[in-house]
Amino acid sequence: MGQNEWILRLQNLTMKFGGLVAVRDFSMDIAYGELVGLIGPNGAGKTTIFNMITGHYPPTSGRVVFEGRDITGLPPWQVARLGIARTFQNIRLCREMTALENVLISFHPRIKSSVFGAILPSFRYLREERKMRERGMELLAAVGLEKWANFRAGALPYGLQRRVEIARALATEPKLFLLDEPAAGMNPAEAADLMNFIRHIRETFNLTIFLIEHVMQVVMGICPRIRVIDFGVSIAEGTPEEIKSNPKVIEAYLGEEALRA
Amino acid sequence: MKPNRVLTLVFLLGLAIFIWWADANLDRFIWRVLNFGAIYALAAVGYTMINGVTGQFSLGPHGFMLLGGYLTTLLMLPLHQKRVVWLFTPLSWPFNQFTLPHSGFILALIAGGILAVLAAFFVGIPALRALRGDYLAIATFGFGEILYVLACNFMGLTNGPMGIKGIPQYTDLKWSMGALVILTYAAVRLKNSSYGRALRAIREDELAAESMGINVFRHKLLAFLFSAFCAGVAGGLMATLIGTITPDLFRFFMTFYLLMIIVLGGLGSISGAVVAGFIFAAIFEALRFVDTAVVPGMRMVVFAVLLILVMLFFRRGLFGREEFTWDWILRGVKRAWRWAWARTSGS
Repeated sequence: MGQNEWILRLQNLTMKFGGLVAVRDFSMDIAYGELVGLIGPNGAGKTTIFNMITGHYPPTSGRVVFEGRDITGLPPWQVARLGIARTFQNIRLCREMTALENVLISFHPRIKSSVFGAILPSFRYLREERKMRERGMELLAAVGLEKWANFRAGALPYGLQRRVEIARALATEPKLFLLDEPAAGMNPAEAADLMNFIRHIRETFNLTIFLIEHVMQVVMGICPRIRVIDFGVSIAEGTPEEIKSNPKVIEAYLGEEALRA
Repeated sequence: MKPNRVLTLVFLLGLAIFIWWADANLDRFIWRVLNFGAIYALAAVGYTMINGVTGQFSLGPHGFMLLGGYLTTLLMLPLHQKRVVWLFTPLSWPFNQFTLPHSGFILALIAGGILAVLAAFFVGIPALRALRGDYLAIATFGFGEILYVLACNFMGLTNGPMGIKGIPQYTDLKWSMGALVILTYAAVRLKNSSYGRALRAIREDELAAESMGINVFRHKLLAFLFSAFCAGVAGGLMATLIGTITPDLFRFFMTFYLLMIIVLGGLGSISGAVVAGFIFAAIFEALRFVDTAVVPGMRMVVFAVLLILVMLFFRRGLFGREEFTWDWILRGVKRAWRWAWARTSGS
């Protein structure tokens, strides 16, 4: 495949924390429009890989290339502005602010009025603010939350909080969407619901999605391509069927005994 | 026009009439307490922007007040008074050459604010980029102490620990309340704007805000500069209210007062800071008898106990993070009316 088909290329990423190697020599290419899953047992280094992509951890070595541009070591806010959005494993909302305000935060980096315009306020600022609110309500409607717009985000039930977090990330108008264990803490039915929802937003917003999951069954249903890591090292990649029958994966998840049995 | 806006205009008009009357006729003691209240409130409004709204623990406002106070003094002190005050070390250029006339007072206040902003800029760039929490508090505290030492030793500018006396008393309620109203308006607008949402997001979850593309450092600096401007203007007003200025006027206890005010008002509540500023000034004066009757300094002990009691019963301060709104008042009035109505018709 040609250079231009990759939205994200991870080249030999390594992350060391002191003596601990959290991720070793991780490489992966993701094409435009793909929906890729990254799975592995607890502590395998999945979130560390996300943190290296979004700039929260500068990798010890290796490169992150986004749309042909080397973004290794850029601070998170610049990475976000280039078009990479993320959600967090343990939902990180601004709990004291309303659901709508949470979404509006993501529009702020693109505001054109100066702070003096906002204080006065200038007509231009008022127009921008009205536009932001309209767009924010549209987005909340798109994730089925228009009823909850003026509720305190921290007071919403868990599943809805997850959706607010997704809406907030979508408001940055991303090209690549990183979801860190979106189904964590959900029962199987809720998780299945969420996966349908993710498929739906991928189509409506024309996104490339890179998804971390810890429970294998959840990703199996929606990701055509899955990568498995264990102890910071890639151990397998393929379609869900290939992954399910891969002995290395079974060993990582269930231990050697399971393989012998 | 919305009814709330009408109420605000009526309130401001009433305030203007009161100030016009009070500057000439009000009992001088109460007048002075009101002036102090407005000045404390002004500094607290700025302080709550960085400490409350943005959640960055700064301990530096006394330093910014010191800068504003000295610059305003140097610009407004009459030339003959300058010759009298600087006996041992001559006053440095250019302040020994000129003094602004009374009409230049507004320029002197703004200059004090701008000097504080410049200082905040140079402190904020390294401190806010690298530090948060307790470490930021220590760095900004250190900055204030450095300014104190400088003020004691730059005799040519500050006359050292002997201070400067004979500053014309230009501050009256017009100035202190006027500055308070204007900067409170700016603070409320800022807090409720898109920029304010970014500031609140930083307080709630810095990592999340950063991941949504917000340049966290620049926004912290914005709040810090705003707070420095308010403190600088408040320092200038205070010096020209008291009539004398010494480095001791702006020691750490000033920040401690302001911290008490914004905690009492509710961290992050601008109207809370305003109300608490006046309450502080009033109680502070009301407790003066404790100092004379018991031991000097006893006042602060009583004050601290009062503050603890408030914290026990209003955990999040008087206003929490909420703001004063007319709707809130109107709801209360309606409820009281209904209650009174039910009682009279029942009997």
